[in-house]
Parts: sequence; C-alpha cells; structure tokens
Amino acid sequence: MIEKVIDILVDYTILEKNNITEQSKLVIDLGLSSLDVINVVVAFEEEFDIEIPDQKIKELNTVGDIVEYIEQNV
Amino acid sequence: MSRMYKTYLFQQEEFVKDDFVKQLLTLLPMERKEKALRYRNLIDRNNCVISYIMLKIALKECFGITKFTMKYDENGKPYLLEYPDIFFSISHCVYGCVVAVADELIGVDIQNVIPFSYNVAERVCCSEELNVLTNSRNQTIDFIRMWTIKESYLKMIGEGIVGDLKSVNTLEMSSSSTEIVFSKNIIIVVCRKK
Repeated sequence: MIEKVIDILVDYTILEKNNITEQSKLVIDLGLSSLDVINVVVAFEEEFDIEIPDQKIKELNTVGDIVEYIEQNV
Repeated sequence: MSRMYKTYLFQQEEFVKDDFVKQLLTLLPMERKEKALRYRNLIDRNNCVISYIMLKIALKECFGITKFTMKYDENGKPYLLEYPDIFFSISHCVYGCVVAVADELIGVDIQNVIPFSYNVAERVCCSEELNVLTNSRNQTIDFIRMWTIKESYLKMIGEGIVGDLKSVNTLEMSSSSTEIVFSKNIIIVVCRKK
C-alpha cells in the first residue's frame, strides 16, 4: 500500500522515492503546495476508488496518515 | 474610512546564495528559524526565511512596527500577538514568495502555473466555474486564477488552506476585493475584506 502511495507522491515532489517514508510530512518534507495536495488527493481517490472529504484532507499531514486513511476506507 | 494595504513580492529569478540566507536566519526569532530549518526542500526553506524578513520590512514601512510576535490560531492563520488590528498573509511557491499587510482582513496566494486537470477542477470548482472552464480558451490559466482566488479568500477568512473550496464561487466575488497579478509563470491574488 505504501509503495503505491509513494509512487503517486513522487510525481509531485523533488524527493527521491527512497527518501520518502511513512513519517515524511507532505508540506515540510515533500514540499507540496496546497494545489499539489488536491492533485494527490484526486489521484488517491482514483487509484483506490475512495472518497476523501475536504475536512479530512486537513488531517492528512504525513505519508503515514494517508496510508492509514486509505487502508481504513478501501 | 480609507484602508491601508501593501503587497511585497520576491521572485526567485536567481539562485539565492546560502551565505545570504544564513545571514537572514540570524535575524529570525527562534520559532521561525526552527520552522525554516525543518523544510527539507531548499527553496521552501529560503522562502520561509525571506518571507519573514519581508514581513518585518512591510510592517515597519506601513505601520512603523519594529517588534512583533507571530502566532498561529487553531486554523493555522498567522496573526500578530501585540497588534490585533493589523493583518497579514504570506504565500510562496517555487518561483518566489509574497507578503501582504493591511489594517483589514487580507489573504494572499501565489501559485505557479501547472497543467490543467479537469478531475481536480471538478473537485474544487462549482458548476458555474466548471462551465466557464469548459468553454475557456486557456483552461490552465483560468483554473489557476480561480484556484488562487479561492485560496487567498480562504486564507483571508482564516478557514485554512484547504477549506470548502467549492463554496467559494470566484465568479461572484467582487473585483474590487481581489487583485490578480499574472507574471510569467505565476499568478498572485490578494483578497481583502470589503
């Protein structure tokens, strides 16, 4: 699961894939802008066929948060 | 009553030298310095440092403020602890950073132009906006403009960076409360409370 999440995230960050971990923070470590965050959310929704409500997006601060949410909602 | 606001822009057209940023770091309060150093991406780190210095300059030039404490509320909106009637907003992207200060609520957003995605537009735009985009000759620019207006508005009202984006209908917003700057590959929007 985390590999698929990182595969999507890597298109939006200058970080190399092997530098992205569950603890990586989307803004501080991956350097995602707010628009990047929406882009990856849409990508996750399409890849995993789930919905991520706007209010939930604010709580997704790390790669681990994303993985956990997806695992709970797939 | 006439209101005061001013916007400052720093464009990263040239590489910002490490020595310069290190010098600027010494001018930051510990909290801001620690925040800047947490950024792994050098451009983000530089923007964090430079935008704070820009804020210092702006507050001094516009309001004569030389000492202040920056805090964040529960929604992540920054404010000045000692000056509840002075407002500011900061935004940055890979091409630079922008700071706006005012004696009224204000929000600013800077966004680099990236390829248009209809799926993303469907996520954040209302039906009226989607209609405009569908018929637009330059969907990329029109979408980025809409996005930046939404973000600057949400930052002004303090709802956080990812608020209820669809509810912000950019087509209904007064043109007198927003200013849009389009320069090379960035769009900047300043939104003020009217």
